[in-house]
Amino acid sequence: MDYIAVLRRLSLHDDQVVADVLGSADTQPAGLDPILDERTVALVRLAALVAVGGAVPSYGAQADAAVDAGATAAEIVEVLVAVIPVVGLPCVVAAAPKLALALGQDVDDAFGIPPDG
Amino acid sequence: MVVWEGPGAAAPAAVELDQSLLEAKLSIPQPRPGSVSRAPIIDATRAGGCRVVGVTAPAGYGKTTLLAQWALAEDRPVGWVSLDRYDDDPAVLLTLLASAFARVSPDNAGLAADMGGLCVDVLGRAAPRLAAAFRSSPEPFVLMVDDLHELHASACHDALGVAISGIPDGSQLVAASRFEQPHLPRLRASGEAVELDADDLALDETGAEQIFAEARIGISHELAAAVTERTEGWPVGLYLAAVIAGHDRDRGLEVSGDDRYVADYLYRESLMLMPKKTQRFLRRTAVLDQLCAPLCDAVMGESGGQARLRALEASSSFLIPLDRRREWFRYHALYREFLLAELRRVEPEVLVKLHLRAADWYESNGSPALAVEHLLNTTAGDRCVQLVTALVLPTYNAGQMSTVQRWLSTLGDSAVEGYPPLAVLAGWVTALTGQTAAAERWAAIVDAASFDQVPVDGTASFDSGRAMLRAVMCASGPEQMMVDANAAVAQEPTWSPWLDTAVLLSAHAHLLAADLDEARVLFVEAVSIGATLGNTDTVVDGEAELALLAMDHGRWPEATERVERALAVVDEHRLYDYAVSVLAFAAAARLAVHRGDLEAADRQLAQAMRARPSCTFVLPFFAVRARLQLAKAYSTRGDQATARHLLREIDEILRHRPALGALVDQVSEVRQTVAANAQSAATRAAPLTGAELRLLPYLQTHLTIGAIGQRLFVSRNTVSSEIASIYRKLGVSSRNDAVQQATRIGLLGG
Repeated sequence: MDYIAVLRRLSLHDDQVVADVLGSADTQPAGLDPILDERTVALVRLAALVAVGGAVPSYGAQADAAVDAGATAAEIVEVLVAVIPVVGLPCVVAAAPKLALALGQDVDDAFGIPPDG
Repeated sequence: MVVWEGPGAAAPAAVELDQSLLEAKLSIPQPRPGSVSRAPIIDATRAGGCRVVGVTAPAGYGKTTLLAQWALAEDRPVGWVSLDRYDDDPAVLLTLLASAFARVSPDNAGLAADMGGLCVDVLGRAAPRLAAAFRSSPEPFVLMVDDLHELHASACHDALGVAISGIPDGSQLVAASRFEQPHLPRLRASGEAVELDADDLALDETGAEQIFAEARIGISHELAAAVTERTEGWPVGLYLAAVIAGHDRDRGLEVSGDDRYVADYLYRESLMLMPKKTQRFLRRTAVLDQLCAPLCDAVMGESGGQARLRALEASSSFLIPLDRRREWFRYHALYREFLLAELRRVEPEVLVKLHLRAADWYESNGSPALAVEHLLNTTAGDRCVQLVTALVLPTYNAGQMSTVQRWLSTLGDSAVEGYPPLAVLAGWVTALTGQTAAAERWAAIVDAASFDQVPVDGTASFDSGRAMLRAVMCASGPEQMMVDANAAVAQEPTWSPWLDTAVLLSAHAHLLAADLDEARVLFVEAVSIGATLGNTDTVVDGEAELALLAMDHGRWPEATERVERALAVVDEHRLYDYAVSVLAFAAAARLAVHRGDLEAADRQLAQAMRARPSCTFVLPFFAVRARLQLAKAYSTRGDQATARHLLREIDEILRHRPALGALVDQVSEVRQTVAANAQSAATRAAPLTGAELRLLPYLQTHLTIGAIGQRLFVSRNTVSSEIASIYRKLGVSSRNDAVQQATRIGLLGG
């Protein structure tokens, strides 16, 4: 199945296409050879998460998946910056502390630390 | 990094003294003949069969007597622990509980050793290990803990709570405390605990009659009822009333109330009845937590302590024998507080002198740790600081981290800064336990300090000690590390207890400079010196590094031998949570992968992953080397995801310490290997991060998210996000399941 066919079937809200394209969870994609590498897919999903405004555990799962696939923390953070032109700064401001928590940093708390602390 | 052998020839005496003090803490006190029987309460509580019994009442209600009578009447085996203020340390507490339990359960002879060990994870490893031992006891037992109110550290109560969860049905833990016992409310709510309080322990007129009869004073039933009512059944009040009535009948019977002022009044009355010399003896020896005749003689500056103690023991119930041989005693707690107040009132000027004499005696009898406790009460700051300096590492090596921290915090940062060699040790302690911020602060203080006398910690000079700390923290890159390490090697004489550490650091510096041949020679030298000195961590680290070098060159038989030696030391000294052990586990894992023993490899990898949080960027080359070896091993096992998480952790360390010489190139190599290797089909969940591993043990407790945050000094947000992450990675959705799953995969328990 080529990408035009995928686009057409998606445009029709063809439920079947999801199974055809993604395959079932533990086997190889059935209809489409994966072109994007795992790392890119993980980063794209993270970008989508920023756009829809997920909660901390979702960021944890996606950030771990990105690292699993070989992304670095710096690359993950760069995704936030990269999506600003599309989703706008407020979305990213909301996402940043959640992603930070997922990466093991509490930025809200860090702001509250007195100068010598 | 030194096992310290104590001051010269006094070592055997030290062992003996510590042994007899330990013996005293673990022996069941004999109830005083003639004390009022508590049989009805004891029988009822035993019949109730609750796993946990709390006896909570103010001083003077006969808590210890109740426990001692119970122990005497009990047909199940009884283990006993009397706590004192030096036991306010979770590792010490669990060691005592394990020692007491080992006496009633001979199968568990090695249990006490499992509780200690360098930097042991008390809550995550020792406490669940003890709970498991309780749970698997073949026969029911009773464990009695007296003076639980001596525990103030929340870490102690957390650990105790986890240990208590292992007390099986049919067995009982009985704890006596002056204050509310934090573990009780929850257990009581679920019907697993019963609590006896002051009302239960108050005596009735029958008890009063018995006390007066014991003092050979006849009183009528009505009078007994009246005295009981006025003292509200407070046993010590009744006892004192009887003592005073023995001299002046009317005054004794007028006694009333149970508050502290009345107690002080009663005590003073009873004290005034004694000869002046005895009064002075009582007052002055009250500075001692525990008394024996030679110690009393030393503190009083006169002889005759033996006879005086015997006479006091016979005549009053305020002196409690601690051991069967009746060599060690302590004053009844409330009485001692009164005596100390008297001492401060009557002759405050002698207080410091008395503490100094006690410190002298403990020091010359080989118990310098107890000398420190007395010196902390004096103005002899310098002497105290020096003694602490000499004791930090041996105490630390014994796993009593909070004792060291208590000393350092009681002395205060400025006192520690005032004696730069101690600041160096504070730097070592904080670096080896992964307290990054504190370690960096001490390093900066040490860098700015100067000191030209001979330090008492065994190093050749302050410069040499400082050079070693700088080398291990490697903040200025490998060239400076080489300079520092070689300076230390040049300064430390052949007999120095720090020589092996200096040589080991030099070996590491050569490794970073990619001078493998010289590094190998130095590691061999460090291991041989370390083995002679009995410095376990040098042996572990040196053998592990030599094993890795051997593997790099395909010398597998040598590698096998060295890995076995390193692991044997880790096992013997319970170094499972120690920063230096991570590399040994990683080397063992790599060896097992090579042998094709994947099960053993996974076991070693799990141990290494669990221990790695203590290995932080303040020990940068340890931290990076260990993670690099782990990443390689996981990559070879086909788990590229975990390898990548480790590489990410390495990135974090390199962010703090970018200059690590040859290691940086090795990281790039491994990164390429990981990228090239195929991920095996089954992707496992990401490994728990260091922060998550530190939080994990608290899931065994009943602490709220906020309380856990306070324990770990992190925000509530951080805790809740880490808990969510732990659940996700473990594939569970509740706290109980998380603990069970973590225990199953070897992240909790011993």
